Amino acid sequence: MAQALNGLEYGMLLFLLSVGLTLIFGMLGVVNLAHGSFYALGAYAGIAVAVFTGSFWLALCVAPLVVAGVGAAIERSCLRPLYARGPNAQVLLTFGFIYVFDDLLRWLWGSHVRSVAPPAALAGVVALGPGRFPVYRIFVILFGLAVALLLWLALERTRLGAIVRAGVWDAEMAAGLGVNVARVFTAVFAAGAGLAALAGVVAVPIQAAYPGMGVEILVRTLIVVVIGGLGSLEGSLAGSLILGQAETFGKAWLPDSSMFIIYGVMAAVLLLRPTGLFGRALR
Amino acid sequence: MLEVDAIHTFYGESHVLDGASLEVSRGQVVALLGRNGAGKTTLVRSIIGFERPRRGRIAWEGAAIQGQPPYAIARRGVGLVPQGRRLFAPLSVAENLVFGARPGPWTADRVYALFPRLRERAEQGATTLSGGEQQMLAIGRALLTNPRLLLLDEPSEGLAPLIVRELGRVLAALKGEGLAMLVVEQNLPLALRVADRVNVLSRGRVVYHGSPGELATDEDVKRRYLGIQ
Repeated sequence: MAQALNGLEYGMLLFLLSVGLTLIFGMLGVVNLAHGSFYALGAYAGIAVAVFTGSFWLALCVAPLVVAGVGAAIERSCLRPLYARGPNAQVLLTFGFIYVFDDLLRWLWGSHVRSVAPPAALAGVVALGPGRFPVYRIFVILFGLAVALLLWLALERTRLGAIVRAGVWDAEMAAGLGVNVARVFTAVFAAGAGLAALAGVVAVPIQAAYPGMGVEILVRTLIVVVIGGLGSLEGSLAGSLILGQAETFGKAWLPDSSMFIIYGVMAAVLLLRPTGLFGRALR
Repeated sequence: MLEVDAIHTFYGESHVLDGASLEVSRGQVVALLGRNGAGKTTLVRSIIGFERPRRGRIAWEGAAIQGQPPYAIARRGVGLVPQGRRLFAPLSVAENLVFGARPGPWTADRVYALFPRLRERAEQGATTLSGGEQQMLAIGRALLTNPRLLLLDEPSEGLAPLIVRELGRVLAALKGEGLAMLVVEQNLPLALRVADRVNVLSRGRVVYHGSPGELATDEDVKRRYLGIQ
């Protein structure tokens, strides 16, 4: 029971990360390898705000906005000139940003593991059947579900959401009907970066922050996107929940093979559905 | 209204448009004919801004527009019904219809009045429609941008003869409202029925232009450039 909840909580973190990555890929065609770096940047920025102001909640609001701004700046200044050059240039560029951010974080905050305690209101544990479970982890699960619901409403019920869904399908045609797609690209990239940073802040009280955290989570996030299918919110949620459970139970039961298990899950999904659970065939 | 003046458009190193020129005047319907690979779709893509011509000029109301982003060209009043329709599959019929809507005489209600089937299916996914209904939705979607020129790239492609006749009536009705159109067509009878002027494209160049009546009787042009015996 506790393992399943841990898996759910971890899955929600993966969802916050992968939903941005999958929408960015679906719309902009960019595999943003720096996505994990936004997660790490969010974690460290969150710690800075929490330490400075003493408020975790303020950190949860401010850090994602800062990182979204960083994401918007990178998209406009560095990625935009490369869209015409195809995906290889973009993958190389975002790969480079992994090292830039990694060095930046070590330079600013050093290589130590850092953490902050969960806010006082979420500090305790609750009894769950025979065992006990931290309140903060329950908060993460509910928070992730709330973000998923808000994102779904934004995508399905608003005009900007319709533009994003249409852009994931056929960005050129959206432009041909008068939509300034470049501006929407920036907004989606910034929102994805902000969501990754949100995951980073939320993760800090559980997993702490360390310089390699971005790359470590990036691998999982990419697997989630592959399992769920590119460009799909539903796929991102489903893939996150599956991988969250697979890795958590893998670590508990077969600690030596937990990496093998998550790759095994990915291989199995790809064999059954080559485009991922909610993916579509490439045109 | 639209002047395409000797444009050269490339895909990589392949020289697709080799000095193509044509004109569409206000309220005029111009047909663009030619065999597969002649460059018809590339010409449409160049006008809407999907491709940037390396040389030549495209003028809209006298101002050069080549090299501008597609959204800016669309907002000037160019509506696009692309080859293969390119509806947004994740969106419902209604969402597709109003996707690029801008104020003007065309409203969703008017489009629904023109194509009642779309209203019945407004909440369905766009790709659940039949081929003919999808084409009508693609036309409705472009009309709601309230264009002054409608670009139609092979609107009859893949449609049953009965639906092609229906399409012909729709195009004639739009022409009756004074909407200018550039229609790329493989279906010669349809093109000859609605067009005021006819251009024939071959190897990236306009090799013939005239009235539909002149082309209908020009067996030489039809045989050489359209493959009609």
